[in-house]
Amino acid sequence: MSRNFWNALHGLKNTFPTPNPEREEEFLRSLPEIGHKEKRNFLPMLHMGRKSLWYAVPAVVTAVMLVTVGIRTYNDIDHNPLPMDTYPETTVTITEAIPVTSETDATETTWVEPNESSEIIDYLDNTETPTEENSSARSTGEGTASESKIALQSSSEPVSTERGNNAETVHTSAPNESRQTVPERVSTTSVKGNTITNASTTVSTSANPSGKSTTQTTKATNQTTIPKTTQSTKSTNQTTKNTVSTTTAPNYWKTTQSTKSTTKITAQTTKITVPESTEEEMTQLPQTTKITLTTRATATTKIVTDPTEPPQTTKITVTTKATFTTKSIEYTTGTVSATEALPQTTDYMDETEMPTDYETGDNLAWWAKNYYTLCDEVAYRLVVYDETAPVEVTEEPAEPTAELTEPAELTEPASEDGTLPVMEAAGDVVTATVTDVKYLFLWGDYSYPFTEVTLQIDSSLKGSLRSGQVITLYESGGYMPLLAYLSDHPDETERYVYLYDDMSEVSLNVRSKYSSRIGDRYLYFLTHWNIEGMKENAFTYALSAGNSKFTVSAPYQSADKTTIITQEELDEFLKS
Amino acid sequence: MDTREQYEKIFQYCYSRVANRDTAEDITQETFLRFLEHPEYQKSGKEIQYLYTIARNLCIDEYRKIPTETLSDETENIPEQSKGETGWIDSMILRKILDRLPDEEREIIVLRYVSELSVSEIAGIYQTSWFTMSRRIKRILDKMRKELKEEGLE
Repeated sequence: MSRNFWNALHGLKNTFPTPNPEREEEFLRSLPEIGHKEKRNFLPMLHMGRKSLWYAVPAVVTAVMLVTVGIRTYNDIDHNPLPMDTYPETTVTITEAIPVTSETDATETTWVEPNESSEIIDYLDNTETPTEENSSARSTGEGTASESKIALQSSSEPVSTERGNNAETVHTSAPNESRQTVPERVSTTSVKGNTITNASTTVSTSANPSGKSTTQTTKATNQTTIPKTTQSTKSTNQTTKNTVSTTTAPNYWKTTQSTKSTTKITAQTTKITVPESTEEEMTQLPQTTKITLTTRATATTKIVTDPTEPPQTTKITVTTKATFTTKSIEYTTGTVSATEALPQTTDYMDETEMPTDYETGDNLAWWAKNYYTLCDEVAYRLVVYDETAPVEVTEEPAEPTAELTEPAELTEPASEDGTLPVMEAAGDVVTATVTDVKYLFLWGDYSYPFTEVTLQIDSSLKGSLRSGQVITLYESGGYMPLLAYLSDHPDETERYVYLYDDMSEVSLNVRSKYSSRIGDRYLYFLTHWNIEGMKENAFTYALSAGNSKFTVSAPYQSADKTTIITQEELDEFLKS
Repeated sequence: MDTREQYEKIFQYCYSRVANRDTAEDITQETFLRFLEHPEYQKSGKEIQYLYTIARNLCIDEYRKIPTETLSDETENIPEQSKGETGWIDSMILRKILDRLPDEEREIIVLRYVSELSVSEIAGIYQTSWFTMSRRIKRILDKMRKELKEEGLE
């Protein structure tokens, strides 16, 4: 908006009259200091007489009713069977005690990522049969990555029996080949405060020699390290060799019907406030800003293996600290923000897959939103971000053109005369290398990000460009300040509003997956794109990024792998 | 909170609603009195929001009681020094545009640029989010600028 308009707007106050100074002075003198605790007797508060004690009666009755209902609800929750109880189970039964002669690691529980088919070792005793003393368990597994995914299952198997000198081991196997993979629902989840919970707990149970089930609790804090729970087993001699029952099933930890778990999750994160800034002020962001997000989450799990015994309790606290830096680039069309580190992140629009890196604001916001959703529903999928882990920016190398030689799914056939739409739209055809990328942001009626790509021409096949020349290519998409995005997408605000101390400093990734990276080398089909405020002699893609750049060797394949141009077709086009 | 400063702003806000100086002054004083009846308002951290909510409700009550007078007749109450300021004419043209806006849009602009409330405070009065209010202000300003162009000022 122009300076005239703003001046007139800010002068609007002067077009309104001021109060009568005498009357104002008289009134203000009679006023008590605002914020005083006592009510002044001159105030017209007669209509606010004291409330009768009878007001307390319905309040007390209501409170008693609520407490009663609460207790009933609590009892119901406590005694409802957990989902895992309804699934088949695996049992191992030892009928006779065996003297202890040695100690081995007898049971191994393997961490399995959800939705991955893996081999689960049910009960492994290579040499001996375990005794009652083998119930100790220890959990290991700390690491540096940022995600753990938890799912619990149970399985039921028909019995197979093998008898040795002093022991009978009964193994069960699956009644049928197909097993369901169902994420475990934590029975009770309560969350307080504006929080992000990112701890997870897994419960698995295996039988001990006495026939009672032993419950193990495993915490997983990262992605790269596989937590492992080992159960030490003391056994007798090697006269009996128990059967190793190995079951293949995706994504579960064993448990039994007698196991009941209750997980209470509490977490704290940095206080979330919305900055007070107008659009004018948003254009004056600091040049460089360091953003630190801290999240602390605690998950407490209670496991009941025997109703007569107190539950086992496990508490996990995880602190997350992520730091990243923004930088701003002055541009004629407004302030341009971009993250200094440019991670390859999941597109913010994609809600079907949990992003695994959280360096950028969009993913963190996604994460937060997802968390809140979980709080409302069932916390079966939680994320852990280990503070000991450095914030790794995994910049992928420039996409090698060789990757584009994979079989293409052609959806855009050439026209009858061999001319593709991209050829018709292109003014220049060049092979070029990306030497620089800047993420820019354009203020306007509809704010949007774009990317300024510097191309060095390797060879010019058509048009006025020459080898060695450096041109600017503008791509749509890039990074933009979160607030700017929200100013045009008010419907999205609920998704982001709870996370940041200062959202104006967070950039949002709205890049195309075909956006350029330094080092890219392609055959480009370009057209001039000269717009006021942009650099002169600028170009943009003849069509879109995905179908306007091709591999540099024949057969030429588009970045989106939908189009292939043969050498003959290209030659024919260039001749024309 | 600076009571004196708020007094003037509340007055101007009320004036924009009832278009009568005496009535605006009455409502302003009533607003402060009602505010002071409730100590909890004064310790809530949202004093400004409460003040304007009270004023707004009182203006609505008043608006129902009396017919609105024309605003243009009241310009004699504007301080003389303001009239001499650069851009005052522009502001008066904008004021006319403002007066043509629907009630709620006019109120929002008055709250923002006359009473100088923050977007958050206005959002609190309207019980909406910061972003929604920010967006709404932007739209109203766009609308005013468009009309200003038609007036030949832009």
